[in-house]
Amino acid sequence: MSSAPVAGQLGPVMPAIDRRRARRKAVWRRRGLVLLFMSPWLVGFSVFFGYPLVMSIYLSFTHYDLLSSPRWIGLANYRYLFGTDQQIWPAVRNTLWMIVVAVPLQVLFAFGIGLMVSRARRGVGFFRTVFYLPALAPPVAATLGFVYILNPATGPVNVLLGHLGIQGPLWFQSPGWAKPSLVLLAIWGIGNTMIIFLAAILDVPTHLHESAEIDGAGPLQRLRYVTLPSISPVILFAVVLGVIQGLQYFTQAYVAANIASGQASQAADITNTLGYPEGSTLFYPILLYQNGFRYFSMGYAAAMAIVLLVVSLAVTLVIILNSRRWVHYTGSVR
Amino acid sequence: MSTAAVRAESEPTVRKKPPPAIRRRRFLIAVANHSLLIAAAIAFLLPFLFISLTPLMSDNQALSAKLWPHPFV
Repeated sequence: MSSAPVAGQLGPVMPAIDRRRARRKAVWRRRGLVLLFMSPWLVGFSVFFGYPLVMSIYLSFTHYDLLSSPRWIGLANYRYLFGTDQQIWPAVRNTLWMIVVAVPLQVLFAFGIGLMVSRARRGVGFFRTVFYLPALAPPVAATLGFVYILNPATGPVNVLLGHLGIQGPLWFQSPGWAKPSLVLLAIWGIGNTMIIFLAAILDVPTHLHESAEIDGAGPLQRLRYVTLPSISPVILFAVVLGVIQGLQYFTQAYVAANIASGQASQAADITNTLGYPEGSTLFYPILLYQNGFRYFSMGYAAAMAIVLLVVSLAVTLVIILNSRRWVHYTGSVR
Repeated sequence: MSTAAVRAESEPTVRKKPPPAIRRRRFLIAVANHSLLIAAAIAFLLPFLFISLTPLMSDNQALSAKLWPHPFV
């Protein structure tokens, strides 16, 4: 037959091309399959994170009041934010105060309570539940409760202090005490962090404590040289999370200012409730909300949000880079 | 195998009781730990109790010094 020699000549070439084509097809099929399985996350990420982020960046360069289309104004929002806005720096100061005071106290209390619960011989389940319970309270209800508890005239705390012959402070009604009152509220809600610390403390290998004890280390030395280094990744986690939450501190301060000023209604005069009393609870996210949803300066609010995002990223990066000196990861080479 | 080694293997391990001074110290530490825990637990529970009771009060009662709702609303 005449075709036999042709087939014989092309024989070694054709299967090689076919094989290559089939392999490429298989690779694309695999990529398609991976994309198909990833698509729920990809769609969710693009719709709920990517698009809003890109739109926020775009809107931050525009004047947008929700009623008319966004109008490009370049860097004007950022210039106003850093140069003209009188309320920004008090809001930044209050936010920094909250982070510097509340975050270390929260970490300290969560660690302390976690340590005590880990050493309890009886009633561990009861104590664990009691300390975790406040974390389940809705933030608005908890804030409302604290405003009533710390009511200067009728609140149980001041009534109790009065019985002891101490005149209680004005708490949420006083510019000097409003933020410490919010710190008390924040410490009350440390349940989540406490549970994480408790798990980390219980996870510290017993043989490390035993060998330190044999070497003559006392309880404080064991805490300093065994427990703390072992749970340092959890401390880092708590600090990073606390700082990010501090930068986004909104609900409690907003509700407390509204209730303490006696104007719970949405129709309340915003000039009186903003950061009540005397701007002491005016935090950056509250100012952002006021600009966006009360004054309808969406472009300016978007610029504030972008600055907040950049600051959050920078602060987190600094903490993580700095953590290399004091965080120890068991069994890993860093 | 020597006789001593065989005896050591066959005898069950008995944990040595710590001296009384150490036991007393451990007991006192446990008491202090539990006292602190109970105090902290009360401090954590009271606001929760107050928050739970306030919805059962009228507006006037909630803004009074009385802690127990009377009458329940």
